[in-house]
Amino acid sequence: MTFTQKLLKLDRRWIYLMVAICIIVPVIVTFRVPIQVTPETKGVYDKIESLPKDSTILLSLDYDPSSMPELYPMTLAILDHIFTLNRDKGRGLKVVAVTLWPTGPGLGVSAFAAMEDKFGTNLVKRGRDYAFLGYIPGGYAVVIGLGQDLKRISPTDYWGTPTSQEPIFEHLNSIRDVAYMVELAAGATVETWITYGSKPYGFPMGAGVTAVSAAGYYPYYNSKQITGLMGGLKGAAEYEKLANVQGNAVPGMRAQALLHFVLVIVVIVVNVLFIVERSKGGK
Amino acid sequence: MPLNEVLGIWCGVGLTLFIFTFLYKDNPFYRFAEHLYVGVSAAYWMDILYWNSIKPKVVDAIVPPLGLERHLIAIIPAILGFFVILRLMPSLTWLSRITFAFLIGAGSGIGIPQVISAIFLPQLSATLNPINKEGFKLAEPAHSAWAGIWGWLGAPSPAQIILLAGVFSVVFFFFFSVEHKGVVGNISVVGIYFIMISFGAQFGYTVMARISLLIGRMQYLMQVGNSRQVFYASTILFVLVIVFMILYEVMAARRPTTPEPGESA
Repeated sequence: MTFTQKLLKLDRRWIYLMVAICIIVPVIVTFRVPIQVTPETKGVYDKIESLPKDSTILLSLDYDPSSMPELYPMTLAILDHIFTLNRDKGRGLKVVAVTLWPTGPGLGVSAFAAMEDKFGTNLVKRGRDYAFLGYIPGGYAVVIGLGQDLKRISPTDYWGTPTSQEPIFEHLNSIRDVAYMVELAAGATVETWITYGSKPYGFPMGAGVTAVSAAGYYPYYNSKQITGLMGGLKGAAEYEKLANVQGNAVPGMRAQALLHFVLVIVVIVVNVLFIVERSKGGK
Repeated sequence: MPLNEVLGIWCGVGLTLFIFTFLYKDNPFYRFAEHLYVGVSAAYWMDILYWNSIKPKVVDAIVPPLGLERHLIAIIPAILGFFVILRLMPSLTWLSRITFAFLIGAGSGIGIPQVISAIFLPQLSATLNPINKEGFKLAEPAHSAWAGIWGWLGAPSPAQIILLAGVFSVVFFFFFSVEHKGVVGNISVVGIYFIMISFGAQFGYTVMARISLLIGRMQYLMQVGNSRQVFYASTILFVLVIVFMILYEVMAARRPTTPEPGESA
C-alpha cells in the first residue's frame, strides 16, 4: 500500500482528534480574529439604536438548549445592548419576552438573571423594565392572540404575576403596541411571526437564526420583511462586536476560524490525493 | 455555588463526555447517556405540556379554581383532542378524522390568505424588483463603482439580474410539463447550477452550525466544568472516562466471542 493510499484510508478518528485539538487550542491560547460586521447584523443593531424613547421591544426566544451555543449569545448581546442604552443614554427601552417552544423558558429566565446580575435590579427590574411571559402553547394561534389581547392570552407572566398588575403592560395591550420585535429562532418560527405577527399587526422585526437555516432567510431580508438577520455564531459575534459586549461568540469564532482553515486544507489535500491516485489507475 | 448547581454541572460534564466516547466506538457509557436523554426528554415534555397546556387550558377552564371564570367551551377542543388518542383503538380510529378535518380546515382557512399576503406576494414583488430602480438600490452598496455606473445608466444591478436569472432558471428546472430539450433544457441546466450553489452555501452554513455546537460544549467543559468552584469536574471526569474506556476495551478483548446463529464455533 502506497503512502497516498494509506492517507486516503486514514482512520476517521484521527480527523476527530484533529477537530478536538482545533477547538480546544483557541480556548486555551487567545489570539485575535478579525470580525467583519455585515449589513444584515447591523440592520438589527441600527434599528434598536434608532428606537424612540420608552419603546417596547418584543423578544421571542424560540429555541432550546440544543441551539444554545448559537442563539443564547445573541440573546445576551441584544439584552445587554438594550440595557446599556437605558443606563448610558436614559432611553427607557422595555423588553417583553415570550417563547413558543416548551423547552425555551429556562434559557429566558437565565438570560434575564444574567442581566440583573450585570446591571443590578435598579436598572433591570422585573415587571417594570422587562417581562417574561414564558412558554405559551399554540404556535401561530398565540401570535394571532397576542395581537388581539395580550393580557387575555397571557394572564400571568412566567413567575405567576398577573400581567394586568405589571407597570410594563400599562400601555401595552397587544403586540401592535411594540416598536420592534427580534425573533431568535432555531426552527421555522420566523415565518410564523412574519405571517401572523409583523405583517397583520404592522410592527417591524429582525431575526437571529441558527446557521443551518440562515441561508433560507435571506429572501426575507432582501424583501425588507425583516430589518436585519443574524446567522449562527458569526451573527452573534458580529452583534457582540457592535454592542461592545464580552460574550462567548467572539471567543468561539477563534475556534471557528482555525477549524474552518484546517478543514479547507484537509478537503483540498484529500481531493488532490484522490486525483493523484485515480490518475495512477487506482480505485 | 449551591450544591445542587455543582451536582448539575457534574452531571452535565459527565454526560457530555459519555456522549463524546461514541466518537471512539459504541460503548455502554454512550448508551447509558443516550437512554437517559430519551427518558428525561419524554418526561420533561410531558410535564411542560401538562402544566402549560392541559392544566390551564382544559382542567382549569372546565373545573376552575376559586376566583376564576368557568369556560365550558373548552369541552369541545378537549373532546377533539381525546379523539386523537382513540387512534390507539382500531375500532374507534375513525373518530380522529373529525379532529384532523377540523385542524386542516381551520389551519387552511387561517393560513392560506395570510401566507399569500405576507409571504407569497412580498417575495414575488421583491424578485421582480430588479426591473425598477428600487431593486437597484436594494442590491448595491451606495458608494460602489457599479452603483454609480449602472445607476447612471438606469439599469438594474448585476446582483439583481443574477437573482432574477436564478429564480427563472430554477423554476424552469421544476417545470416538468415540457420535455427538457433545446432552449428549455439549457435553461434547466443553468437552474441546476444555481441549485448546486445554493446547496453549497447551505452546506457551508451547516458545517459552521455543527462546529458552533461543538464549540459550545467545549466552552462548557473547559470554562464552566473546569472551574475551582465545581472542583475541576471536567478534568476528574475526563480521566475517569478514559480509565473506564481502557478497562472496557480490556474486558471486551478477553470476552469470548459468541458465534452468530448458523455459524460453527
